[in-house]
Amino acid sequence: MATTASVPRTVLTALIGVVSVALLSSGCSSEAPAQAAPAELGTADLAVLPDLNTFGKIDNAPLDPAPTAKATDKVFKVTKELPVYDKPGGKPFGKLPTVQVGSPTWVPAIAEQGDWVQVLLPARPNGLAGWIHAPGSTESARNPYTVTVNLANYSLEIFKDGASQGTHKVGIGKAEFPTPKGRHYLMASIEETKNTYSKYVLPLSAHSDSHETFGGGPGTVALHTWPTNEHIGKSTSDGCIRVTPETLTKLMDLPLGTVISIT
Amino acid sequence: MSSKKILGALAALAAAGLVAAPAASATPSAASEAFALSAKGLLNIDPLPYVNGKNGYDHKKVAEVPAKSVQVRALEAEAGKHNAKATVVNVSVDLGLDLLKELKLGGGQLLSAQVITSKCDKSGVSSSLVGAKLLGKPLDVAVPANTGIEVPGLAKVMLNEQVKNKNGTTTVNAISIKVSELQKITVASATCTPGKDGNTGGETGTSPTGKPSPTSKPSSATSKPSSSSSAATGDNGVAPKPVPAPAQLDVTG
Repeated sequence: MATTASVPRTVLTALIGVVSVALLSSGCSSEAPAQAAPAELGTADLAVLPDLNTFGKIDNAPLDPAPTAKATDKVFKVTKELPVYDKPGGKPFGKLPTVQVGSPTWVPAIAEQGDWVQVLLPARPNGLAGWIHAPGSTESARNPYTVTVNLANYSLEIFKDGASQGTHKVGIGKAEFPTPKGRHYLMASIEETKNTYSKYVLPLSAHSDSHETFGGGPGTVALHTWPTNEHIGKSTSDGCIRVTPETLTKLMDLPLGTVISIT
Repeated sequence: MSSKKILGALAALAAAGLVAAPAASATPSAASEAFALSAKGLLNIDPLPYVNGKNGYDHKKVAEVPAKSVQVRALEAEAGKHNAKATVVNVSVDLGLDLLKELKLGGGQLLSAQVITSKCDKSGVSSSLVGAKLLGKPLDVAVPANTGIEVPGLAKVMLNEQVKNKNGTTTVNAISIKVSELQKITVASATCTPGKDGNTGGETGTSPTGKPSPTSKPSSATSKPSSSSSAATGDNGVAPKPVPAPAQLDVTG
């Protein structure tokens, strides 16, 4: 109270002026106000947006502003092809399809502003993040799970509502093809129909930074088993995280969109 | 001389394994499938990239075409159980003087486009053409099914071509071009098997709204032991446990 009284009136007036100008300028910009729903895109406008899937790569992309921070506990399922924007009310730079390698599209929320939700995305580069206007094209759910991977310790830890559910030893990428650090997420759950090293594979949103492509694929990093456990605790993969069958069974229980923080 | 050159080029293409593949409608199996581009005739390109959903979800993307006449930024195709999609990004098809002469065409670019897409899923069948031109003639973004257009020099052009196949599948080709009896080109083709149980290869009743999914139990009871009930589908808006979708993806091992 004393603070308010001691501030000269001219300063207060100036501050109010600054705030008003800021509000006015955002209102006068050519883009829609941040909280408003975006204008619906026409067929051509939507068609030219690149698909945000594990095969995609977005140039000059907005990135995760806080790759070491905690995400929210919300995940969003994309039920209808959905444009993704560089900021609330900003420009669209891609679109999320409803399917990712056969699994339904779920993305984790890392921030929210009204109906706008900032989500992590499955295309290159690593850390790609964008804003979706959630109503109408998504369903949301609470995801109590998170996973951390500590590369130096070859360890993976599963958390539920912040409480550890156990730590598991893993194998990681070799020095020349390192497992990429950052805040990634579980993109899909697949029963492999061609490759035989792991019956089930959990592809992440992450990509190898050293393998632009791998085996004909887009260099997607995944959690999976290996025919033997000899690689656990070693840096021998091309970027993927190799786990034991027991660990994979636990990871397969986690919802799509679960954030996997690799440090 | 031009004919000889073309024959030589064809022989080289054949030697490289580029043999014409059957059209989508002739495929005997009833699986969803897709490809971004195919050419049959003097210019031969196998459906590229070709995917089908017979053994689970398949998704491929390439950035090169094994034919000098075709430049692309990307050709992408994916197919699941009852859905398929094909996308062509920044394509140009220049047949070259020899082929143009052989096909009795004047000069000019046969096809150019920014994005051409076709897709089919539970919500329907569609295709779109953005920034597309055929021998310089601009094409509309979206047209009704089976819109035939006249392009001087070309025998037949069908946009948004939709065909019910004998095996029960439906094919949509964004552009189907018959230059003459000697040359056919199909751009962005998606074929879907009929089905209403979801639009994905591996989607099984995920239900974040609290309603248990009737289909999730049988599918998730595959060889994998269930170790946790806490991530069960749809309890109080909790994100569901996923059901593995049969699929193929080359990850980084």
